[in-house]
Formats: sequence, C-alpha cells, structure tokens
Amino acid sequence: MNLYRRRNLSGLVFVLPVVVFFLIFRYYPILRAAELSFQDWNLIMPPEDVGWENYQWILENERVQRIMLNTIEFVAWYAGPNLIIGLGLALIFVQPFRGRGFYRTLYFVPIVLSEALIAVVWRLLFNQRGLVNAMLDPFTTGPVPWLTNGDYAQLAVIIVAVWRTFGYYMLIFIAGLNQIPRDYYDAAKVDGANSTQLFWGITFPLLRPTTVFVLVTTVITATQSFSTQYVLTRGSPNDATNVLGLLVWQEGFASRNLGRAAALSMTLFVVLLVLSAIQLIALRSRRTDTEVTIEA
Amino acid sequence: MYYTPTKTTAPEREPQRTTKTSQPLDGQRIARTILKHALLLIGGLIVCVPLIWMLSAAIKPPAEILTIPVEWVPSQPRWENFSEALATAPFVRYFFNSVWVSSATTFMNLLLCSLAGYGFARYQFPFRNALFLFVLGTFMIPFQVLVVPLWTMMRELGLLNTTWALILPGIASAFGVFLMRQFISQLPEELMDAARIDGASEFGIWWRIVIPLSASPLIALAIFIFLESWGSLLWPLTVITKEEYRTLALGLTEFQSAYGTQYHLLMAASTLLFVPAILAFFALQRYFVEGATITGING
Repeated sequence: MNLYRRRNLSGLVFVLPVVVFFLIFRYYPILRAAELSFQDWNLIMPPEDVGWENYQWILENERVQRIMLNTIEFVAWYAGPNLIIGLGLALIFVQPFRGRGFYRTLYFVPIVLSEALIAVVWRLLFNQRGLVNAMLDPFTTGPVPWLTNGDYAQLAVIIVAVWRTFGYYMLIFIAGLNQIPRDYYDAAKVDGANSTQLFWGITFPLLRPTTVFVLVTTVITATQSFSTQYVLTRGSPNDATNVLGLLVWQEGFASRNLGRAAALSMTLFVVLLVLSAIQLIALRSRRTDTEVTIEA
Repeated sequence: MYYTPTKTTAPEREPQRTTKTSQPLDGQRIARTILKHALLLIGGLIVCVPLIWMLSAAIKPPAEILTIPVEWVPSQPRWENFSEALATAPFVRYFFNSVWVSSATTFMNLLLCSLAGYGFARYQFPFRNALFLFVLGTFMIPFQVLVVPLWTMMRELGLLNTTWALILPGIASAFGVFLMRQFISQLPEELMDAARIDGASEFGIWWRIVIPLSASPLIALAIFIFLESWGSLLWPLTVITKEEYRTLALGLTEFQSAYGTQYHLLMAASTLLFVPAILAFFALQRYFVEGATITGING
C-alpha cells in the first residue's frame, strides 16, 4: 500500500514541470493582464489606476467597434469557406482515383509555409499590376484596387488566409470520413438509398464531431488572427482590414497604451471563452445524437 | 491483345462492374469524372501558380515583375537577385536563429508534454483531475492576452533581444499534454507491470517503454510545434528589436517593411525561405499528413 502510494506520487513529479510552467507563463500573466486592464500605462510613467475607463473606451470608441465588426466578418468568411471547401474536397478524396495522392499532397503545401512568407508573396500578387489583376485583365475594365479599396482589401485578406489552410481542413475531413463504417453505406444502398440520401442520412450526422472540430478550430484561429493582416495590409486602408488580434498589438506596442491593449485582450479572451463554452455544449449534444443514430 | 490481361486483374474487375451498375448512367458518370478532375486541376493551379510566379519573379530583372500580361519566363535570368538579397539582410543568420529557436522549443515540448501526459494517464495522485483541467484551461488563452504581461516579464528578467525570450514562453503546450495523455492511456498496463517486475524505476518505464511506443504522437506533436514556432511573428516582433536575433518570419517581414518596393529582392528572399520549407515537406510528407490527421482526430 505504501509502495503503491509512493509510486503514484511519482506521477505528481512527472506533471509538476508542466504545471509550474503554466502557472508562471500562462496564469500569472493573465492576472497581470487583468490588473493592467484597469490601469493607464505608457511604459514611461508608472502605471496608474483608472477603473473601468479602458473598457468604457472599448464600448464607446467607434474605431474599436468597426474593428470588432471586421473581426466577425473575417472569422465568418474564414470559417465558412474552409469548412465548405475542405468538406467538398474530402468527399472527392475518400474514393480512390488516379492522382489522388498527388493532389492531396499538393493542396497541403501552403500550410507548411509561414503566414509571413505567404503574405509577402500575395501582397505582390495583389499589386495593381500583379498576377491577380493580370489574370483578371481580360474580364475587367480596369485594374482592381485590391489592397487600396476597403472591401477588396478585406476580400484579399480572406483569400490569402483560406488559401493557406483549406488543405489542412480537407485532411481532417478525410480522416473523419474514413472513420465512418462502410457497412452503414452498404446497408443503406441495399435499402435503395441514393447518394443525396446517403450524404444527409449517414455522412453528415456521423461526421458531426469532425465538423464541430473544424468549425471551432477555424473560429478560434481566425479570432486571434494577426500575421496575415500585419504583413499584408497592417489593417489598411483606413482600418478596413484591421482585426482585434492586430489592434491589441498596435495599441500596446505602436501607440504604447498598454492598459488599453490589456483591456482589449481581456475582451478577446472573454469572447473566446464564450465560443469555447458553445463548443462544449455542441460536443455534448453531439454525443447523444450519435448514440441515437446508431441505435435507430 | 484481347487475351493479354493476367488472371489477377480479371477477377478484380468483376466486382467493380457489379457495384458500378447500381450507379447512374455511364454518360453521367463520365461527365462527373471530368468535372471532378477539372475541379481538382483548378484547385491545383490555384495552389501552384502563386508559388511558380514567386519563383519566376525571384530571377527576373525588376522591370519584368509587374507586367500585364505576365511574362512567365524572364528575358534573361537575373541570379544576382539572391546574392543581393543576402547582402541586404543576413538571411542565413535568421535561418540559424529560426532553426535554434524552433528546435529547442520542439525538444522541450516533446520532453515536458510526454512526461506530463504519462503522469496524467498512468498515476492516481491527489488533485490529478484538477491539475489536468488546470493544464487544459490554458488551451483557450489567446496569445494576445499574454503578449503584454509576458513582454514585461521578459523585460524584468533582462531577456529582451535574446533567443531565450523566444523559446521560454513556449516550452510546453496544453495541446501536447492532451495528445500525449490520450495516446499513453491506451498503452497496455501489462507492459509497465512487466518492466516493474524487472526492476525498472517509474522514470525508467517512461524512458524505456512509453517513449519508444509513442513515436507517432511524438512526431505529430513535433511537426505541429515546429511549424507553429517557425512561423510565429507576433511574439518575435514584440521582444526582438535587434537584427541579429531575428527569426526568418520576422526577418522577412522587416525586410518587406524596409525594401517593400525592391520586388526582385523581396521575391528572391521569399524563395530562399520557400526552398528549405518545401524540401523538408517533401522529405517528411508522410509524417506531415499523418501528423495533421492525428492532431485533428484527437482535438
């Protein structure tokens, strides 16, 4: 008994380094960020308590609100296309065909390149006289102002972000599809189900864990997006492509308003906590759903 | 010709035929196949063309880069673009900084996460579940929340403008602990009991039994952490202001800020970043695909 207890205590020793690390480099900094969000600090003067002033600024400042709306727009247009393109391609890739391995590898290439590298190249591709406008030239009356017009710039950022990651989400959907037992399809085919019925009756409900995972991952990734915007546009023109993840950095390290930056980052944190809570609820309801489907 | 098919191909064909008869008309099937391949080809072009354009721009004279229509082949390859880019900014130095930072971060993650994953999976110690939740809780912290306080911590420790500042805050990850715990808890208990009977210590079991059996999640984790560290920009941008400590991602970004209109040098520099990444990818592509699949399924 004593030996058993001693043995189990060695488990505590194994997890201790990681626990101490998270305490120092994750939990303690959050507390400091929370404290700082109620202060005014420009790095030169000592921090000064200002109460809820920074949060009030977030609620009242029109620029911040516009950037929050941009963030929602970016998140939706990152998550949606990744989900649809990823799933659509995965449905093609589950059946064997000539060149399958080649295309699967090819689509995966952009994810191994850093966001900075990709954004540097695409910035030039979206130049007035860059490749994109050269390709569109026969169909348009003049060059498209990709990075200088707000609406086009937001579209450009989304294209670059989705271009980099759709292959990754495709792979995850392929893995999810491969986990669905073949027998279900065979049984349904015997009963005379067509391919549309197979998709909505078997594939879609049984793929739900994967779909939820992709949805949650894309939303969380996009909410924190920084590099693509920073390199491609710096939030320009006129904050049309600015997002919360970039604004935090600009407020903190370009404008030296560390208190405001902290308040903004706490807001981002709360948003992500809410999204994670929604994920937990979605995952729970999924579990009961699948059980029902299998029993039925 | 008609009789040449070997006996092994003939029976294989038979069941395919029978399954295909249950599908729509042949004409429709052919149309569907053509549509599928057209879609895949367009997708492939969308991925390839920007990268090919970058490679061709890297060896063009500046005047030939932004032209409508595109000139895919330079009138005369300008290989000096590479030497000029390397003379303008120390990309070799950036490369070795990146290699050091990403390798050290990856190594520490493999060590700490496999150890903690083993502890959480295999032992009953007080507060185990609470501590596991404590670790998992860090998963949803956006880095933006940490960036300001971590910067002040690094400043207090005197680590600004060192590669330690880049390594230290990332040496363990909640995702890594979770991945390793999931995998290690599925290993058979008998293996560990047998090792105990043979006199192995608890640490010895981790090193001799658990680690050798966990190759696939360890490789997946290594790829995931290495890529994340290699591409990270927000944190290096915050703690590194001196050129000699820049990583590749930061170095290229700063190069763009400084020489953004020198398109030929910019594309040559991008190509210098692209080539090692793509070579590593093709050398290790099996692990990349496997790794992405494992991280996706367990997430």
